[in-house]
Amino acid sequence: MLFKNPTPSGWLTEGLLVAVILMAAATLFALRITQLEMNNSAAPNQHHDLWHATNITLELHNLARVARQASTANDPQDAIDELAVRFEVLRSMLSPSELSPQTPQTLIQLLPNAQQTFNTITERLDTWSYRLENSANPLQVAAEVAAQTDNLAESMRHVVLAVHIASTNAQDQNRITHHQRFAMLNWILLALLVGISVLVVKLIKDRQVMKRLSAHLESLNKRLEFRVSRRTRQLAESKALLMFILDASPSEAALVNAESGDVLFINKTLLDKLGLNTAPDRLFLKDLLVDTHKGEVFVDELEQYGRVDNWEAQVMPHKPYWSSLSAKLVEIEGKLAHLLWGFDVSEHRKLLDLLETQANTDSLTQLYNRRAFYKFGEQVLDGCKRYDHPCSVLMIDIDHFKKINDTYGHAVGDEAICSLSRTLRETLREADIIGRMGGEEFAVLLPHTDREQMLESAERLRQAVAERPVQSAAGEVPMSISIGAAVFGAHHSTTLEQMLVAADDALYRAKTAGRNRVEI
Amino acid sequence: MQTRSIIGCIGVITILTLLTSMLASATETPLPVRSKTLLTLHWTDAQGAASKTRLTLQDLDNLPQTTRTLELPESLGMKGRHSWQGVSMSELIKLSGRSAESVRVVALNGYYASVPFDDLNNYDPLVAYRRDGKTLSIREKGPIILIYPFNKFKVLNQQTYINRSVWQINEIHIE
Repeated sequence: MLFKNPTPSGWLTEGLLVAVILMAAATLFALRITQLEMNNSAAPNQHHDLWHATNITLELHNLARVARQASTANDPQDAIDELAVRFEVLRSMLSPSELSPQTPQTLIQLLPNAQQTFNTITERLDTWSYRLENSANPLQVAAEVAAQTDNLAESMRHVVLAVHIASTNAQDQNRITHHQRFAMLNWILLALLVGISVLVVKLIKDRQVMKRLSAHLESLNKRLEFRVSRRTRQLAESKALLMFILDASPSEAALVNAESGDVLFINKTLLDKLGLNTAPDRLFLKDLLVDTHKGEVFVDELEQYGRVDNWEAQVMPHKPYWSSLSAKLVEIEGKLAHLLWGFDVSEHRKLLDLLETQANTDSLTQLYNRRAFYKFGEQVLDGCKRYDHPCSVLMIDIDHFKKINDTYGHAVGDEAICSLSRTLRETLREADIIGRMGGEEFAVLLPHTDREQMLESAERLRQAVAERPVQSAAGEVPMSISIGAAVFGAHHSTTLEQMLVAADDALYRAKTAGRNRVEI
Repeated sequence: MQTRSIIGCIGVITILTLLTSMLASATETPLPVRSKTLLTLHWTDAQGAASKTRLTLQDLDNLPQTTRTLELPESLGMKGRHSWQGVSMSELIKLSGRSAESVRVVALNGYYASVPFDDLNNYDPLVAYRRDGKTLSIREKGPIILIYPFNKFKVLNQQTYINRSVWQINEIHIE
């Protein structure tokens, strides 16, 4: 949004970069020019050719004056000495080292006429000098010098003029060079100024953009921070709520690391069941189950299928109870964890057991009822068949029960039935199955019992009943029973029902035969 | 390669030295006689009368000597590092018994320069008449040269002091 057209901006930046590089190069160039100028001006190096030429001319005039004075002097020797000194002074002015103190070539040396003139003067001087020293008449030499120096001075005048022109030309050439250099420096500096101005403008613009960006960023940050804090608060609240719900739940709940067993969460209910006040550091699901093997199976199944639903198992080895367990394999922060839900089903279990007992039991006698007799009788009969054992069945009926009921009342009838049940229990073995088939009729299944044993048991039973009258409020009431028996070898593929029918037939015979007896 | 070029250089230098010495001997002028006047000192005495004193080589030698070894600026035209021996300008002025505001140094070739008194205090210029132990002929810019200590003061490296470095001195005026 802030960069509406990024392409021109990028182009501008690259252009500026090139400009900066060019500016740096220009600066280097300018620096080099400045250095050269600096080196040139490091030491005083004035050309004094003009002064020099003029000085030679003046000295020639001086020489002429001294020479003329010598010819008329009172003390010729002093005048001659003075003349010799003038020769030396002039000669020193003409020596090459004097003409070119710094550079091998000076303006004078570049002028052929000047050079010619100097050579002439030098030759003359050397000649005069030699003659002045060796001649017998030095005054004559002085006169000669006086006569000739004017001509030499005249030729020096031309030299002075030529040097003046050459020198001014050279100075002007120097000026032009300087002017050019400074002009170039001027342009370079101007270019640098322009470049710097553009850069400054660009910097200011960039800064403005940056300011806008940072303000935008700041507002974004604030919004984000607000959102994050709100989200964090929401998360914390929802987590707290979840924890509250889980803690308040009547179910046991726990979340533990699958490998290390580190407890990530455990609720109050489970802690109570574990008998702990604070959460343990580690908890393994398999240790919760009473049956260790079952615990391992539980965990295996959980890891294989990712979840286990409604496993009923006894939990808490220290204080076992039945629980319906559900578990799920979840991933918490990149690590596998076990989420466990347990629901106490012991009450439910108890109720089920009670219901089953009630369904199988005759409420008056606490013996098996008809349904239960058939159910357990079939099982026992199957066991006998499997092991090739004989098996017997007794059908028992109280004699004249209707009469007892009518004479003494139903309470005594019920007591008679209860008495018989007690006798049956006391007389028969634990393994024998006793059932009240309805009214005053009972059935007994004697497993592993052959004919002889059965008859013996039946007789003993009959006698026991006969010997024990029913105790009632109206006194002792005598009671007897008739027994119909049936026995079958193991090889007979007989059902319980068939056996009972056979025993019932025998019971009928016993009744007709006079009661209180055993028929087979 | 380098050794050979160095040997070559040494050879050339030797030949050049020989040539110069031969030339010098051919054009040698008679050295100043010890009794001859080398320098004339002019001043105005307390009564306002002009006074002067002539100093010979002997006289100069009797004054306190100073030696300075340095290289003069190129534009003076005396190349190379030399040992300059002479008398400090301040010592020389003492001969007059006058205090000076400035000193006018006059050369044989008609050149002269004024040396302000501050220069004497600040730089103590040397009135030198021996170079490397030898007196100087007029052709060698002798007999006397004013030597500023260019090697000690950077500020001396300007035309003003080059102009004051007078050679072929034969007169000094205390003013």
